[in-house]
Amino acid sequence: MNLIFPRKNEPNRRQFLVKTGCSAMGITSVVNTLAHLKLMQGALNAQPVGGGGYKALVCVFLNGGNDSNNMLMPLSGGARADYEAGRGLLAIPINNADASLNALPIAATNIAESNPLSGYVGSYGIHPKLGAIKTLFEQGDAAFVANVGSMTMPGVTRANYSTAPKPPQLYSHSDQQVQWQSSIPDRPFSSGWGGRIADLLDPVHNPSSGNVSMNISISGVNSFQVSPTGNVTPYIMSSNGLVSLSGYGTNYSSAVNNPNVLFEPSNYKTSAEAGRRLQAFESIINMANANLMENAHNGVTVSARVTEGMVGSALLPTIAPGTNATTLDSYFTNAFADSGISANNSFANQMKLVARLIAGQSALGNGRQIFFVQHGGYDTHVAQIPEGSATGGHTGLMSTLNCALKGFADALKGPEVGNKWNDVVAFTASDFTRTFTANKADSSAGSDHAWGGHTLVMGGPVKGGRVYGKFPVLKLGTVTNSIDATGSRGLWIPSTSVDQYAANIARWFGVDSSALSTIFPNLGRFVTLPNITSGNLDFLDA
Amino acid sequence: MSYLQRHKFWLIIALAVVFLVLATRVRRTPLPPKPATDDAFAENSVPSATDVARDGGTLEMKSEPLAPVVMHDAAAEMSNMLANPERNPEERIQAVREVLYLFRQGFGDNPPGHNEMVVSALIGENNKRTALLPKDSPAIKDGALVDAWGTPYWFHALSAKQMEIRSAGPDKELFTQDDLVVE
Repeated sequence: MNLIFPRKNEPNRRQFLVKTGCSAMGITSVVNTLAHLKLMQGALNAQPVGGGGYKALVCVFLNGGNDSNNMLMPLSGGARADYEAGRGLLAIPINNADASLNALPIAATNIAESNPLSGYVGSYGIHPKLGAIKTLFEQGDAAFVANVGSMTMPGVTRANYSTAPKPPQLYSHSDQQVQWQSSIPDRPFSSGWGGRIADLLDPVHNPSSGNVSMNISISGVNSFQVSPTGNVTPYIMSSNGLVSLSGYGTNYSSAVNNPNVLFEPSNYKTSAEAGRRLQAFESIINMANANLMENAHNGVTVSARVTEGMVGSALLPTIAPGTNATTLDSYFTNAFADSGISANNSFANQMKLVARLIAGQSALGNGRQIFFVQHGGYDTHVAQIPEGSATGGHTGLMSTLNCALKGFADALKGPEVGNKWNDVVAFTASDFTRTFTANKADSSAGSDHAWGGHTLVMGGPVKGGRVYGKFPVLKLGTVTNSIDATGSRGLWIPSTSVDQYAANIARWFGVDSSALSTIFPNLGRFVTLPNITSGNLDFLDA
Repeated sequence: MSYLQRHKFWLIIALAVVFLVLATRVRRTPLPPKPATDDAFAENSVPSATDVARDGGTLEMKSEPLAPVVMHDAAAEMSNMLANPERNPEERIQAVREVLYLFRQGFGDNPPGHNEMVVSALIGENNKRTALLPKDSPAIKDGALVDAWGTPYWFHALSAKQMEIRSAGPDKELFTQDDLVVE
């Protein structure tokens, strides 16, 4: 008989495996995050922060790396001279004979706060196709945050660039997208910051069981909305709206009297074959099954059907009677008028659906909602500014973005949505910005992958009319004051980390200051908590 | 029952004790310095972002000089594959792909960035201080890896493992019909 005498104060086998397993796999912090989230959920249940009522966050991801050097640019002063010298044929003019090509001046206030060198930035302008954004900016409903990027540590300079800790795989599309969406670039991906916020706030603000998910994506699976606990699984929709079961007519009109009533025997059109078939199908999926696998499978189907009914109810008020259009379409159609771009494009359709879901918020029953949309095509290596074209290259992208956001803003301010403008913040994010210099010397030129770039935030809660953060010094290579990371193509070292940018958005959305370091574990490296607005980042109402 | 079978338990214990004693002694004996060329990829000498994060997240640059760059055994051969004028342009761009493949074998991911940054990583400015190409390789001109026509290759980082490599071709102009592209 073997006797085992464990030594005092030494871990037993189980404790040893737990300790070494966690540290070996580098998951200690993740475990801590989950534990923190659970503790904080409990605390928040007792005292919700961020106010009651409804709030929605819309992440507009500009896929491919938006050339934000041409979204926001200097119009005068030393910065303008550097802009024109560095951008060359990619520069947006200010004195072109064709006025439609000229940058639009914006009346930004508090410029000194965003000015990296005193007097360097004279005044700001934006892309000529961002006319509606200019209006929103000057109405106080939009703002820019300058030179934001994925970072692991502050203190990166051109001098220490080769050895300083930086996010791995800078300049790579997929890695930078994931890092922007996770905001934890120095660790393997495990969750997105939208997912972590949802984990924390969902039980507090969306307490009813059976609600549709707090996270809704109109653009497929994404990293941003991945929850660390799996408690908030994103609901993914196409921009066409609901995808119903086929064979039962449009919106189940051949099978039921009221498409928003589910599993109710009297609702089926039993005189029609489709009605009997749907009744039979729904009876089957509602049956309890002895086989656990089949039971679980049926559960998923029932859940999908219930969610579909709920989302259908939410979308119903914005369906124009007797047509395939929606009552919100006119806002988007008007916004795209004269742009040369059809209002029936992928990005605009995504924004239309978000507006409709916000309009139907009461049917969805959620007090907090996070949406994810994407606008693709920003990887403009070639023909970034196609000569004579108002719809191609980066010109077309800016025009589409401008019109879709205008349509969205107008819809949210309209009576159909119930004037939700003051409850919504939409913000842009992108893989990275692009090199300041062109990659060719002729009109077919584009730009390549770079690092820190400008973002746009809009919505009623935005303290608009200002450029936040620090505008980059647009000097290349080794020139004094340059923040060009390496080489001489204009790879701006970010002055604001994604953590700082995102934390301010999260705070407005209802994440308490004490929880910010759990949602953004690296945030404390960039700010002295809880002062997250330091660095000229107070861009949202608290 | 044989003697060995009868005393199997005690034999195992005895062997385990001997193993532990030997292991302790081996650990106490300092290892002889490794010849630089022994290992294809040298030991880490630059902290990664993850290391810094694990150390409490403080940005403390190492003040001691960086370790010398170690040449990979295949560096000369790689250089020849990239720059040998007897190889055709297609073979030479394929060789760039192979160098990046070798880099991924040693480092896990592609060297990040544009041509100059890729070259910098390939000549040893990396966290293992291992060069896959000699600095003076004829495939490198003005700090950039060049194609058969002397034009810098264009690198398009799609992901950590996937890199599009483009040669401007005989017209020496990027994004035209005669470009050579590998991924």
